[in-house]
Amino acid sequence: MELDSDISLVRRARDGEFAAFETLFERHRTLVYRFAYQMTPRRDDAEDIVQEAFIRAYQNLDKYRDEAKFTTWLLRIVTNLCTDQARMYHRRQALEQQEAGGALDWMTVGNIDDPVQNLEADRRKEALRRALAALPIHHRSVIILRDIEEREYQEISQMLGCTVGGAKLRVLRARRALRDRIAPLLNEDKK
Amino acid sequence: MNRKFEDELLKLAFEETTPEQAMVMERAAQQDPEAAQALSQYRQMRLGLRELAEVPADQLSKERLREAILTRGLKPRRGFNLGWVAMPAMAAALAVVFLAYRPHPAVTPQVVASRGDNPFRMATITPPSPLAMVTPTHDIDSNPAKTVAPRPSAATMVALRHVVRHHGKHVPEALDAKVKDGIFDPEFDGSRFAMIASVSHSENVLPSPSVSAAVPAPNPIVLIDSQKDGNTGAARATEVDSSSNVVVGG
Repeated sequence: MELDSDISLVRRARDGEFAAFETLFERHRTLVYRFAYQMTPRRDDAEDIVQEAFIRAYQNLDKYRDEAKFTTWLLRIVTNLCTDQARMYHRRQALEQQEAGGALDWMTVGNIDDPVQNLEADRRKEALRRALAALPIHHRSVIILRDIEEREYQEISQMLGCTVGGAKLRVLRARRALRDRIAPLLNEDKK
Repeated sequence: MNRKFEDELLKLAFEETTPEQAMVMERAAQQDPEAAQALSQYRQMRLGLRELAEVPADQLSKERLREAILTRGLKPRRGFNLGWVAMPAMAAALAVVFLAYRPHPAVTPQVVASRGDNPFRMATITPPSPLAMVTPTHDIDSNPAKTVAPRPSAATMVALRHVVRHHGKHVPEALDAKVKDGIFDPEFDGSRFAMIASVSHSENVLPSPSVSAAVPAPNPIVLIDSQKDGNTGAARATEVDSSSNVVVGG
């Protein structure tokens, strides 16, 4: 069992055993991909980020210290990559929105039988996703980690390099910021 | 509703309170419509965020990763644990090398001002010689020692400087007058006349507070005649290799 732990795989990968690194990739790629997808809601961008994150992890295996979980370290790399990517994304997004002009909205397909409800649910979901994407990256990352990916505060604090209390405070502030953004939408639903 | 109460509602909506706290907060929220609305909004937000957890399947693969790593020719870096020790040692070694091979003060003439590719440069002779010199040569950098000229008389130099400073483009005519007055010897100062005549047409004459000494130019010397060309109306210019037989103002 010890042979298959992340730490032992990292050690073997450091010694040049690429298969060990591939095992780490297979084990954690979904976790990393999910996080990357939430941070940059485009599948191809998320995949590129995951690949780049694993490449950077491979290159910097010597910098990984055993006291943190490998996934925590990995998600930290992803967060940094997403921060860089977000800057470029905002520039590109404006251009693409101009081109698309919302022409494909009518093709949205939902799971509920009632098409009106489908449309409404999709509209709300999309609005929430947009509100989340519009948050500053430090708010967005903690909401994704805590409220979407349901990571423990302990792990979030390790990723952010702060105390557990600090992580809780950041999550609280981020939720407040998100609520301020989507409050008009929620009030609209009440009516 | 104050901020602290709102934060407690937020925790309640995201189920981060103890059951006892939850009961108290629920009761408080029911009595305050604003708090009830906020609690409802936070709960909706939480549900909405959970719905976002669905992500499309990825198309990642080990092969793709391996290819990317192999294409870039990457390997895990080896840790260099002596970094903190090595850095001061490296700095000390560099300091020793710098002190051992630092440049000594030059005793040969040095170029103190230059305008790129322009052939006219200003140079100074470093002590012990107190004189500065103006030279239009290209060779001052490669062979500076040869640029020191025989020293003319101080009276001649003062006259030359006065001519250049006050007569501008009419240097040849002004020099003619000086020769006629016998202020300087054209045999001795022929090369200087030629040089000054040519330099005075450029913008590269830099004022020097010290007495200047000119150098015979290895490049062709241009003599500017006081007579004008009939066709062009400009002063005639003649290029010569040596100025020893040139009679200035003749």
